[in-house]
Amino acid sequence: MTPDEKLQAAVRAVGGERDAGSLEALKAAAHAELQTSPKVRAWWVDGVVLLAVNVALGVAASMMMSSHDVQHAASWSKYAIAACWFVFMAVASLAWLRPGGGALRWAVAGGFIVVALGTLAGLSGADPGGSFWNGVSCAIAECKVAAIPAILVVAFSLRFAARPMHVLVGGLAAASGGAVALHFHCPNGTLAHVAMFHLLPALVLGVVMLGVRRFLPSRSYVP
Amino acid sequence: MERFIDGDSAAFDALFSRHVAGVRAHLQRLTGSSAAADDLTQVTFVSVVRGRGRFQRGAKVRPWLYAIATNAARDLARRGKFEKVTAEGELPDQEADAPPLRDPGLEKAVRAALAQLPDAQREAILLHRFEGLSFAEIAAHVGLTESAVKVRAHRGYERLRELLKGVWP
Repeated sequence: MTPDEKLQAAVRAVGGERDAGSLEALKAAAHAELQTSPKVRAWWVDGVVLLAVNVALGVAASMMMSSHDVQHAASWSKYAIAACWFVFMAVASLAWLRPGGGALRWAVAGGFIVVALGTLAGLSGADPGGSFWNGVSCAIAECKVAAIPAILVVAFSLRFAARPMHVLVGGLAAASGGAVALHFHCPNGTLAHVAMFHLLPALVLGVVMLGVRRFLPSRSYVP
Repeated sequence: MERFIDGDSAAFDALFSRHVAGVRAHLQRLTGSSAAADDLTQVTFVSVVRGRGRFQRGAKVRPWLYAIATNAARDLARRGKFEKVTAEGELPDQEADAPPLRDPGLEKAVRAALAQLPDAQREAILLHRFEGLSFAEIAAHVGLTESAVKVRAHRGYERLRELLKGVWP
């Protein structure tokens, strides 16, 4: 036996041996699970549900709050950037939980940066005044709109072995509805305000969700 | 696999029979414990049933199964559900059902060495070197780049050689 073959044999031996009967006994729980759920839910169903909730909440929040044009440098850029947010919302809602797709999630994270930069570039610079707490109320409004989508992302992520990028991109998807609402509602067109109270909360939300998910046990360890 | 995804229990039985021994052996090598390997084997196949909607049709089944098993072992280790090496560096109790060995000294040394490897390196070398999965297959399922997996496997193998100095080769 060559040294490599000896090592292979030793490592194989560490794996132990079990007779077929005792291995069959390990099947019972999985069999019971299969009887309970004969029909499987495709992975993209959760993404479509998240997207539907995001769109509904983003549109409803935009319509319920008063609209301001002063935030934006031009009317065409206001609608163009809103369209970009909806495209990001659609892609992120599905990409965050796509099996495999590691590079896609990084691309979506990059897409968030692009849309964020576009948002900042389209600002008018108009400063209506107001205190720091006006800004905080923007961030809170975004988090309120994002609350249900964020809960859905965490709940759906329990169905597989979610890695940090899954949850972070899911968090960005969850926050995009609130970002759209603030895009139409907020009268403050300064770079500092939008960066700190519209865009940063999306990142903070993702990090918080990651912290919460870390403590929750997965229902399944599929990648 | 396609029929199993659609809920065919006979197809699941065939999948289970084909892969359970290999998965269980992999888990025992990862955890060093027969009891933990049995528990994790059950967890793995329950996960397979629950998460079969995430299987990409046409992909290879074995790398996917081993990724599930490795994820389960990693998560349960993180939650302290099984002990690997004790604080004094001792091994878990020897298993009564171990098969007859050609080189008991080497097997004991390998068991100890595997337990001392960092989790990431142990997983990488077991999956690549001893289960025969390609770096691309491992990377696709553990969420790393291929080069990151290669580095882990290489470092793990070098560390294993160091730990087995005098016993192997």
